[in-house]
Amino acid sequence: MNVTEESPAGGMAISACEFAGIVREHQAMVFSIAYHYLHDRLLAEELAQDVFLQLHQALPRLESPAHVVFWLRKVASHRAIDYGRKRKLRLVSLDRAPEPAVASKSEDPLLGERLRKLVASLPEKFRILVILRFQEGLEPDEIAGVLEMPVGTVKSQLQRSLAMLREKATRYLGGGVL
Amino acid sequence: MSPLEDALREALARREPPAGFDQRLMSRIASEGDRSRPHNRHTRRWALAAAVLLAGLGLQQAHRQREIHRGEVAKQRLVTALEIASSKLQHAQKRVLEIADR
Repeated sequence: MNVTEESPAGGMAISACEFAGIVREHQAMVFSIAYHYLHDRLLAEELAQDVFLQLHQALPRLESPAHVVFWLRKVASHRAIDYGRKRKLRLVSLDRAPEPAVASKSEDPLLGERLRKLVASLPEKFRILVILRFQEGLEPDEIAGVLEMPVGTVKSQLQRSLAMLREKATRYLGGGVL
Repeated sequence: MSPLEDALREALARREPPAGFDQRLMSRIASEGDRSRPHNRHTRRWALAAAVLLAGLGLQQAHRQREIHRGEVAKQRLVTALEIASSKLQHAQKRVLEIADR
């Protein structure tokens, strides 16, 4: 990333072209956090656009490319939670979802979509943890930094999230799927 | 790593936003900038109008002060003229009375 030039305030001073490069580099990360949380492509794009608009204003205060990534994850996560609270989400009704026709991961092209729906049905505080852990591959201490939570809480809530997902997967996807 | 965790990693892999995301964003940033510029122009117009108004009020006040000063000077001259006239009248009256006494 070609964004090492510093502004007088100590933040990054970049051109519009360089900003477009930052957007292209991180758009999948921001969009995916929003999409996996909200399970709505239009809403996820709107959220991602808002996050990058905010980044455009905040960039002079950010000190390095690593700071930009941390900032984007943090703002995208918090905005996703806000969007989820403010807007009536079209909740995934798993009780009415049809039973899967196939019981093997490799034979079920819809398994990924069903898992994403399971994640979207988790309570909000668990959902964002699962996304940061499995989409972003963050360790519990990194998640704690992004969400400003104690590491112990992150670890225990991740375990509870996985237990809930396992129980839901067994109930809705069949015991032999995972 | 459990099969569930593997499956989650796969299911939650990053995905690209809809095509044209970056172009839409950049044009939104440009339009936000356009929106802010008229606001600046508007603010500058108000500042200019306020400056003109204040300058006008200042000029009016200065003109009024000059008029008051001019009035004061004229009044003083009139008082002086009346005092002179009165003094001359008294002098003339005194002379007339002296002649009459003879």
